[in-house]
Amino acid sequence: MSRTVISLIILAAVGLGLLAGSLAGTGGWKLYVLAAIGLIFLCALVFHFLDLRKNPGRAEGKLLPILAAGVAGIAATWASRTILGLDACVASGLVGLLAALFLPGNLAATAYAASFAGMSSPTILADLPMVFCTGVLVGVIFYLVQPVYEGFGGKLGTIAAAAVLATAFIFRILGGM
Amino acid sequence: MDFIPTLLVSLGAGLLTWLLNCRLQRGAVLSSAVVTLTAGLVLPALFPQGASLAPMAACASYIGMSSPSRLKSLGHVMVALVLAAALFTASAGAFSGVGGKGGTIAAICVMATWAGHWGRFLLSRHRGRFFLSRASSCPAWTGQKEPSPMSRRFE
Repeated sequence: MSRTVISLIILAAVGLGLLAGSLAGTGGWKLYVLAAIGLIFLCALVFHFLDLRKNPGRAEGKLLPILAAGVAGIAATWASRTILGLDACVASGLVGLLAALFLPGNLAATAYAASFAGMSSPTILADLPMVFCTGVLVGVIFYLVQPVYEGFGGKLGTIAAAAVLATAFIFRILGGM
Repeated sequence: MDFIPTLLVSLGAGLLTWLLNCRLQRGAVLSSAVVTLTAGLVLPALFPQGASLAPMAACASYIGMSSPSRLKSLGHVMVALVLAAALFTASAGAFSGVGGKGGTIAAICVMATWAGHWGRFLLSRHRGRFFLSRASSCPAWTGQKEPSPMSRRFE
């Protein structure tokens, strides 16, 4: 149950953070659309919590290979962008394609999630330690939330956004010390 | 960013991924990766604003990764894609530069569509129960003819 609650809190925090940030900088019809989507999203979280109480999923796979896939995925995407100068979408698609062809199901999904995190701009993921930390966090969050987000498109991106935001927060705190 | 080109790119990329993933059974990661890679290569070469539309195509392809247990039909996928186009247009200033923004938009829209379906299902079930409970308590439903108070009065 704690896994479910933590996973849903992560999903709610990232989703509502995005919606709140969008609401702050918009007006007109977009405001109403965002408010409506936000309300339905909150209802969805409640429905999903009730659904999971009946059918709680089970985690699959081992943590260590998932962590390795996360670090490898983000390192490959980051290197493609900074060294080869590829566009973010092309780099992510390329890493996803290679992961889907050469890695088994869960590990391919982790590598693809990490490649989304690697799409971050260099102002947010500035150096290699931040990239490594994000890759590890992607692996940990993926392992934690995998049964709770099962079947929802966008789960990998949510995991990536949570990892990037957590890394930025951690490094800001460490930088301020 | 204009809404109409965003919507068209969203529908095209999302439906293509859904077709590859759910109909042709190519796997969610492979389907999305192929569509994202193609969009990243083709859109900037075809359109002047293609570079800003490629992330929308990637976001739509994440919606197409949903399993059929969450988005049950083509109509649900299209609703989620329209919502994603609206949210993508509206959220231009939020989370800029954060990797995973497109995926978060996709997750919000897929969950909202799924919740809408769930809500409609619950509503129809409870409405059914409500009418059934009224019908079962109604004498005409059970076949017993109960005389009305007015007819009793005239007997």
